[in-house]
Amino acid sequence: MSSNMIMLKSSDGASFEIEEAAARKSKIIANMIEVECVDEDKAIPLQNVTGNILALVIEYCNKHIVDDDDDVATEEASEEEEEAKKKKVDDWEAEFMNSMSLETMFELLLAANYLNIKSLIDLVCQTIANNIKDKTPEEVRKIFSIENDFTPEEEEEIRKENAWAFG
Amino acid sequence: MDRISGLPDELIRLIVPYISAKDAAFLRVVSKRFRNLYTIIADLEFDDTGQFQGTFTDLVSRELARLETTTYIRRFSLKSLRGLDQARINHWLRDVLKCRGVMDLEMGIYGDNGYTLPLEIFTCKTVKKLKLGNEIVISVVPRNALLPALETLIFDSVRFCNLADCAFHAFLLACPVLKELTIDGMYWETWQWSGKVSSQSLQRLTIGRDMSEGFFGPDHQNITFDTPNLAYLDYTDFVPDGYTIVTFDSLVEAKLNLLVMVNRRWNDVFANDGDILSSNATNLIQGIRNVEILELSYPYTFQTLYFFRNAIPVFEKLRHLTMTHEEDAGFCWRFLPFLLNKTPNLKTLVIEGGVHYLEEPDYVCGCLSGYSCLLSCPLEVLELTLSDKGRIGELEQIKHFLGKLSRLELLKVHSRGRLSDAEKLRIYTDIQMFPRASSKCTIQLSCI
Repeated sequence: MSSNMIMLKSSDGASFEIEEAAARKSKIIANMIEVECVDEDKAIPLQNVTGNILALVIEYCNKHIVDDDDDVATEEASEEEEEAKKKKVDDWEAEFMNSMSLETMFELLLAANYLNIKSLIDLVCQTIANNIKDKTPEEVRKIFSIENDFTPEEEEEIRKENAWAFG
Repeated sequence: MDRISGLPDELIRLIVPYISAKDAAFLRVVSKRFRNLYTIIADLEFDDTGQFQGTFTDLVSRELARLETTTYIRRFSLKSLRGLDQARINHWLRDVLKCRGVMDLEMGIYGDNGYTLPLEIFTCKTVKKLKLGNEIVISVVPRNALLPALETLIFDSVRFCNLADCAFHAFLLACPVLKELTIDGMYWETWQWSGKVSSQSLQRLTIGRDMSEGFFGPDHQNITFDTPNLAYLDYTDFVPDGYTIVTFDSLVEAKLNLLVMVNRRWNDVFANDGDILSSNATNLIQGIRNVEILELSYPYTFQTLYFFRNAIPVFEKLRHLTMTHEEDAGFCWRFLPFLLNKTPNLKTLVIEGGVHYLEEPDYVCGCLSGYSCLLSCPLEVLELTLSDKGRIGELEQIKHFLGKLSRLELLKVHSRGRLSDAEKLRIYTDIQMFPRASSKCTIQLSCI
């Protein structure tokens, strides 16, 4: 594994140093590295990601730096070790997501999507889904500050369309 | 602008696989944007015995290809009597499992013991009810298997084949909120498995098989039930060599239809007294000691309980006992005294399908040793069925019950055949004449 460091630059001009292996979690950055359009001295500009969000992305990538090699490694690791390791990652992820607001979560999802980091998209989507799961429409509106733009009649009509869900 | 509305549709679509059709139905009511974004099909069923144009495969492929990426499917059912191409089935299934928020999935395909499920089925986040059948073989459950929403699981003639990493055990382990498990056609002697039925969340368990199809296995097999929260058990099976561990701490109701074997074989011939059984039901019988409601089916369980009469524990909580059996009421009830002596709080006994009698008047079956076990029995309600329009032998049996049950409050007598008014009157008058051990007993007579 290479321990080359590369530089990333956020839309608001902040620079971040990151191990190449961690940066490769992003398919976009990995591609850039493959086609060698990364200049050793120059930072990669990420125009759609602000500094505070990029910091979170980098924190995530650093934590998951070894994941890609796991498939090989697990063959040797004992089941307990593997479970312990998985639990540690799960706990970290839960803590990581817990620490941010919904707004940040959405921005992070946009960034993960732009940078094409599949496992981070999974994580954020799952967390957002957990916020929606088993919630009534009223609760969802409240959580996401969404304004109800239906008339009561319209709302009743849509409820009827999927009456099974409201039984 | 509210928070989520600021997201492009593309990102809202990303969330699709993580929420169920029900969540999507709720989202549609949240605002106009969501209503326009999501569509939901309540029930999508394909059945090759129905009417359709062209080939069945084309039909399913065409219909699924037409769906938008934001279309949810609440229930998806695929039924085919003929063999279907495995790659096609799995292609359809992957789409339904990964992108449709499916909550109820039914696979009624004919696997002919060769079909293998796609691994995605073990990681579906939204499926709440899953029915798999039939003649499907499951040998691999991936390590990351997790069905976090699955509450009801039904296997119909599914065979598990993987002894090393018991796929059956791994499947149950991947279902942390499983409440109800039904295993129809559990021919476990053809499985390669650990014999462990283990679930911490399970509340209802039904295990069944067609006993007339016989038993196929010469190999030693023990079975374990580690189901501490199970409340309901319906169990029809051949009794294995033993039950290693039986954890039924919360069991309230059990229905048993269990058959013991000699040499792990069943040729429609009952074991005789003195035969050496390969089956051992001891731990199971002791494991159900907490039940409040028990149903025993004729004739297998009657015999099994008799053979293992020394294992019968005190059923402290048992208050309702039902004995079901078929038309032929000649099979011996000799297990009954052993059971009734261990049921100090039994209130209701229901005898479906006829009492045990022979034609001679005043016949008392030796197996019940003169019904002396009834003398100390606290029964308050007795329900029984006359299969033969109240023949002398049947009424003689009723006489024993009435004459010995000192706390009886209600005797309900049903008749399976239609009775004329004259017959009713005769039976009613006869029963009224019998001496009663309980002074407060009322009698009801009805036709089924």
